[in-house]
Amino acid sequence: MKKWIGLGLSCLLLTGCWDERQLKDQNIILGAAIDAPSKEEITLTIALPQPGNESQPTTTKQIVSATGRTVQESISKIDHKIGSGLQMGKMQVLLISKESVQHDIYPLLDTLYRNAVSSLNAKIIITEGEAEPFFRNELEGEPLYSHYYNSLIRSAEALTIVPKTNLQLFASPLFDKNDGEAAMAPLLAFNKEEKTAEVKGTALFDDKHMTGELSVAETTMLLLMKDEKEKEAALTYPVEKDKSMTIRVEEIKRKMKIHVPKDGPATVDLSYQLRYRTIDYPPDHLGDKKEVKEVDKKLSGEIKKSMEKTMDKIQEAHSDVLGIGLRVHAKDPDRFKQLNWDTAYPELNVKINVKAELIESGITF
Amino acid sequence: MAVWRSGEDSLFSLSATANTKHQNSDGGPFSLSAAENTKQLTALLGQSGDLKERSFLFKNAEGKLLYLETIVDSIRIEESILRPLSETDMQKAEEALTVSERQEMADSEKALTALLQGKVLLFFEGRSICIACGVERFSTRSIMEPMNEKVVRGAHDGFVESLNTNIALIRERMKSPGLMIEYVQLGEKTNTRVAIIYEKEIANPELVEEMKRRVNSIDIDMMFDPGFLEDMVEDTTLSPLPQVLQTERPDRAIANMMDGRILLFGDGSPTCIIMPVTFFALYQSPDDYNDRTFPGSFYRLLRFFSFFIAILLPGFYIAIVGFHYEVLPPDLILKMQGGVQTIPFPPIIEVLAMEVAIEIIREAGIRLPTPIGQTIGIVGGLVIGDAVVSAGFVSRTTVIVVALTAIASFVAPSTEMSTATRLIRFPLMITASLFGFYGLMFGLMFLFIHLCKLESLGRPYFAPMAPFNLKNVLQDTFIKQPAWKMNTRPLDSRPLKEVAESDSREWKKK
Repeated sequence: MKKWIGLGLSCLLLTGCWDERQLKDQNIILGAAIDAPSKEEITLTIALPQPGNESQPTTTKQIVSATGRTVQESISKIDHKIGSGLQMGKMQVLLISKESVQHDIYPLLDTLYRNAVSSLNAKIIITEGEAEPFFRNELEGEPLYSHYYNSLIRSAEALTIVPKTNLQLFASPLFDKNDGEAAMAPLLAFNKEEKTAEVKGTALFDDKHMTGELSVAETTMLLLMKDEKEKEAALTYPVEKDKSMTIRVEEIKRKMKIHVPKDGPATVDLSYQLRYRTIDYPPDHLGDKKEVKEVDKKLSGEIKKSMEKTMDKIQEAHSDVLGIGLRVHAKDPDRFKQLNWDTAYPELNVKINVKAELIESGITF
Repeated sequence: MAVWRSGEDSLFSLSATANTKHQNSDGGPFSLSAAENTKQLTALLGQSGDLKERSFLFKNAEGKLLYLETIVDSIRIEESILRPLSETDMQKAEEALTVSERQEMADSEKALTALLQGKVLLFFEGRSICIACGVERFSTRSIMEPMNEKVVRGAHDGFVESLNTNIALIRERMKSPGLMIEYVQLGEKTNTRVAIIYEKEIANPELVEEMKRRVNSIDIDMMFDPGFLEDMVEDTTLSPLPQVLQTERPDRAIANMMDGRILLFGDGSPTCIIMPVTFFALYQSPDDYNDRTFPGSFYRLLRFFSFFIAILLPGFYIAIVGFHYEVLPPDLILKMQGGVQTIPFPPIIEVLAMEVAIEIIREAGIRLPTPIGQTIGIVGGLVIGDAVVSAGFVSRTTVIVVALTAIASFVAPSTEMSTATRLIRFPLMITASLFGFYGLMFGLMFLFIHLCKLESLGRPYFAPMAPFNLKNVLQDTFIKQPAWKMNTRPLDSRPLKEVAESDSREWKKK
């Protein structure tokens, strides 16, 4: 008993809590923006939130920028300005300017992948123009900018207009040594007149730098081709001379067949079975089976056309976002090594086949 | 040491040896003179003020009556002893007496014990014995529902301070010839009767033997609180968890006895001690069985959930605020940060202070008379709670955490368990404040290792989880199956008869 009392009392003399990080002392940031016009000059901008309480909601307290040679150096320089350590653990968005990713993006992300408490579900967003103004500019009625950008991207993801990505998902194509799959990230622009941000489409990457971009409509098409339809996906096509229709894709099935001959370029057969419903169809009379057949046929052709156009664009950007390289590698690793995928990919022969089928036309007929 | 008189419900299971140590050597066999004998006993009792002596004549011979007037029923002395003796035609006094309990004693020490238990001693001139007649007066309160073990439905009676009444309550419910009641006299000064009660056909004889062994080895001069008895027979007294079940409810006591467990009663206390028990038995309430299966199971699960809230929530909060705030969703984290930002203390101090404050309020509420107790609860809970937040000493979240924890700890249907959970959370709070979630996990590991090691009357305390028994786990541990599904008794007490029920719903098979 005496032994235990002695032990217990001596415990009080021990120092403890050396790795304690008390919530009240932390500078928790929810968003950061990176501008790196050249490799040795990285400007980091962060938005410090003002924690709310019952009487006042959470707001953005302060925007701070600093420039360093590495991201970590910029972070320390910001630390000098704001007093205590920055905590990136709850980061929701990371904005990177388009200009910065024309060269290697990896040095901008490395410190985030190295840190154990880094927030892996932060959204990576590529910005049109500089990233810093996205935090500096005034946004109409949004107290927390990071929160707004995050929800903007989330809802865009649900509508299948931007690819689903975050720090973690972005990493795997980045670390892929064989270059069999390429990364992509949503593209955002700032609308100064309306004081809002706007989804512009997708930034395409080849290996670690940005090589091209897709519009919103093309992104939807690409994601359908990738078989990554989210909650909703809407497409609009002209039907008659001055009338267009909008459909909602309910279900899409993909079949990918890859032929890798011993010599000559590889070919890919992509065939899609698509079931849709019309949500906007001004010409009406979809009760007629004949007309439905005609619409199906017309749509199949239109979708095929846009898919081919999108395919051309991503091949041009050397960005294998469909992950065809991975499949070729899986099918014939020796041949894949021979091929030098970076040059072989743009030469790839892609055949697309689409079969659309109307399953519902709404209440009017 | 006590002497066993097993198997009979006799009030005369007195032991001579239990009381010898402290008496002077004047004791010994009686003489032929009644006056001398009474004198001897009076001397042994040291001229106690309530000791009364009365002379009477029986068949022209003098007799003496000796009793303690405070614990005998004087009307019964008059009707059952004095009147028959003066009116009888019988030759022997024993035949004339109309008391139901009487015993002849030839030894002054034995007689003294009987005297102290409320017997009337009769001495006759020319006989070297005394006759002890049982005319005790019992002062008991009426049978009420126990304050701390209320149920919504089911029986509303409870044990009282009289051992005889308590046994009567059990006998009334259980008319089985297998019901064994054995008495022991414990406490050199208090001479308290302790009863060991079990069902012969169900309880494992090894356990009964072990229980008797433990009770027999008790050597103490005072024994009237269940706490003494518990400390003496419990396996590990220095554990935060109680290894006996204390109850004041006859239905609960009998249900446990029918599971092959053994009951211990001490005269003068309404609490029944049940051994061996399991951790899970302490979370079973008679309400579960009075309720239907779904609500019964739901509230049982809720109780286990509350157990975890009661021991873990403050530690969890400290760990989050001090180490791992990343586990909070982004919307919540800024709200919480806003709450704690202006608090001048580290979370452990903040929570400890509030926990201690709540314990003080609770303790004060118990000691005070009911109307003031409620006032204290309101003053303590609302006023201090609100003021401490407005003053900025403690964050609102802490108050929520501490209040939730306090409420959750009161859910346990056993008072000892509820106290245990309130104590266990303090070490867990400290480990959490030192090492965050790691510390919490370490603390929990220690707790569960201890739970697995613990024994109650030599039987595993954490059964049926360790050792694992799927059938018992599903039957009546976390959930409560309908009564017709509880075919076997729990096996932790190794009952002689395992089958408890079979085919009660045969009517359904038409």
